[in-house]
Amino acid sequence: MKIDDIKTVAMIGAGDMGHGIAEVALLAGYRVNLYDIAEVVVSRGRERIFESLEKLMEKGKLKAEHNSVIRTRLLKTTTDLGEAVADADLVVEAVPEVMELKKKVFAEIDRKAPPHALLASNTSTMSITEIAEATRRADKVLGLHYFNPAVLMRLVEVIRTAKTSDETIGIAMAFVEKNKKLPVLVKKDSPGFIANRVNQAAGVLIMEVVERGEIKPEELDAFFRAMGSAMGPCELTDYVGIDVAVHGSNYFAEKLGPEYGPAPHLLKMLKEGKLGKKTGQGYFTWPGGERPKIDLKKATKNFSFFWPVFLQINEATKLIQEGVVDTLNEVDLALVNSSGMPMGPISLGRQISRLDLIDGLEMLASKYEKNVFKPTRRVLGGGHKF
Amino acid sequence: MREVVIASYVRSAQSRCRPNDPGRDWLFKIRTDDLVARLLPEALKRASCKPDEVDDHILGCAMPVGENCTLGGRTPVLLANLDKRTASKHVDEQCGSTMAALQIAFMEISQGFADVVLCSGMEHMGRIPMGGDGKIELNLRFFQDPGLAHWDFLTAISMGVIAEKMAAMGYTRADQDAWGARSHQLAYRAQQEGFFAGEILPVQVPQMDGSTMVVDTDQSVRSDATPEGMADLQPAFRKDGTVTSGNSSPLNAGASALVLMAKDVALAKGLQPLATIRSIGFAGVEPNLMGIGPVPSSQRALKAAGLAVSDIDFWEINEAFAVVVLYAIRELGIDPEKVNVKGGGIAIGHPLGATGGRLVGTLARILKAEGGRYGCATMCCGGGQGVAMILENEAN
Repeated sequence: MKIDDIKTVAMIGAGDMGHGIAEVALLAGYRVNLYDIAEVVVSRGRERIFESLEKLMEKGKLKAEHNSVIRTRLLKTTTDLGEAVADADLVVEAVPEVMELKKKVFAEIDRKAPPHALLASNTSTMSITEIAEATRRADKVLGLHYFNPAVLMRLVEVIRTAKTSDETIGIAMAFVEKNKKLPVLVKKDSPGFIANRVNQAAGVLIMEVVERGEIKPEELDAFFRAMGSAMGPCELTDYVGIDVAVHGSNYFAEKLGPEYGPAPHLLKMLKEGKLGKKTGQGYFTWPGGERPKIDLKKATKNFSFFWPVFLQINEATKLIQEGVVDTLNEVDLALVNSSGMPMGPISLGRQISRLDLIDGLEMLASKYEKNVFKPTRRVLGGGHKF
Repeated sequence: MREVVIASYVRSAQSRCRPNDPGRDWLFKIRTDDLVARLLPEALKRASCKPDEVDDHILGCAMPVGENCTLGGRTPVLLANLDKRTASKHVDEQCGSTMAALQIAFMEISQGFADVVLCSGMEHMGRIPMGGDGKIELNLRFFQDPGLAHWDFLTAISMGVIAEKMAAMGYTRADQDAWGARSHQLAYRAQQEGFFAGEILPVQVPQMDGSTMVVDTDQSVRSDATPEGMADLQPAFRKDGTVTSGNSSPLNAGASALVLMAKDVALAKGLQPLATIRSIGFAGVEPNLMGIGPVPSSQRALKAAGLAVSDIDFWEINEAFAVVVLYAIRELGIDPEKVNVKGGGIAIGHPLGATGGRLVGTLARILKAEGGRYGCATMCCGGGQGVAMILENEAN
């Protein structure tokens, strides 16, 4: 199969990610069959796509003809999985992050999709290898990890397992480019792939300083906002969902070690149903879904901008050691294009001396009693720049 | 104290570096130390000097990392096959690096420790940009230690942000744009009149398309600059700011070389020196307001020379940003008509550490060409410093 043989994409899941991935493919001219289990969910997904297309038209980024072609010819919606995948050349799955559910969905897709179709999961942490075991076409199963909001974020991580074929990866990389996104190849199916894995290390620190009561969420977010971030880490967790954060952290803990796991205060929030934006309460209150007001004057003086950067760099060097990426440049590409950051931690790290980095990591590891913060052999050897 | 003269001055044309399109830079395919090595023999020739007469070579460069590392200024001397007995050193005072090299050369000769000193400057902001291409590692205590927070290093390392701070001290967008346009207009006129041909050594440089180009013209100078045309440019450093690419110096590559000589040695050779050095000045200022550096450094140089601002016929104040010049003009009470009369860094370019050589050399030539007596060259330096040098054209 070649890239030009991909004409129809089946999007399984019409939620936050699913509708966005579908829209990106529609904009690139692909036919999209949008599926979800209930009519109400799938029509909400379609509405969200249409609303977004209108906005693009207003901004002059989409021509009226193309909008009309998308509405009348390219987009189909269905609640029948068999119908959704029947004529698909590529299936992208974005159902809730529960492994058993994913396996069940993939087994069914495998039965009902044409034999040539590639099957991709948009999971943000889970094992593509494990998902592929539910199918009889492991050579055609891969990860296509888009970032939220999919229409805006350029990065798509393309994840291969030990069984994914070169042909599948080649087509997937080309498909992402045709979608006007930036593909970064994840050479090995590793928890959290690149961006989420590297950010998890910094997340562990954020959770820990909040857990210890050293810094209040508002003081921490004010700090990051004052440094130029569009959104502080606590607000971002609220935005993504406390449940999503807990699930993700649990998965990291299970696969990589308990230190990557969720802090107790997150589990407490989950238990109390404080899930962040979607319930109106998380770290912050979200009145009517409005963003919390962060008072920049409350920015903490007990945190350093460099600490999360140190941890991101250190974690990135682990990805090299594990064979997930070839160079640290790919880590920077992934991080910059999945966030609003103007500069990635690796670029910043090139202006940081080996000793400052080692001292910083050792201080964090000892203060917060986390072995995962300890400098890697690569960092000790001065290999944090390449 | 022996009197010290500038016996000769030569520079390369200054090319324009574009981070997103590096190949358009006319000097992209020549190393900086090779560029300096091409200038050194020419500077000696113009000073009627043989290599074995040179006691010292002092090289200024603001980013002495990567290919800019010259083993303490030694490689250009060896690349040019000059005399092995010529010592070398590399001086870094940020943008004032070559000015600092000239100051040290002046002191060496005036104190009788040398007769002839070769000074050079170089920078390539395309290949070794500000920040040192990831090869500079500032001490992170500046950003983390509360005891150092008052230095405000986040601002101190952001030259554009400093320029915005200075603009907020009472310099409008229109004032800055007018100065930027003036710089291009004067530089273009000087270019057309052939003024710069007297100081630029044309160099052959391979280009990206495989051709070879004789680089003899400053690449950043615009023939069509107007304040109106600059009004549309977006602020470069702050959304609501006034500092733009039109009123700031661009990114450049270039090199300069000067021969300093004891006056008695020059006269014995029958040379007509370009100028006599009357005094030097250096001063430290707030790191987060480095652009004010020319004011105290010029004041110190004036005091040492026993001169007043009104005695100075021509000024070369480096146009890192238009606002740096406007500030110095206002604070020192200078007649703007006497400042940067052949254009400045905004048009001609400002290859950081190399610029000091061009300022002093061009000032000496302006004094000769325009018949002035005293001139002052001054510039601001990153980290919060200023440097200055006062020249006298004794023929006048």
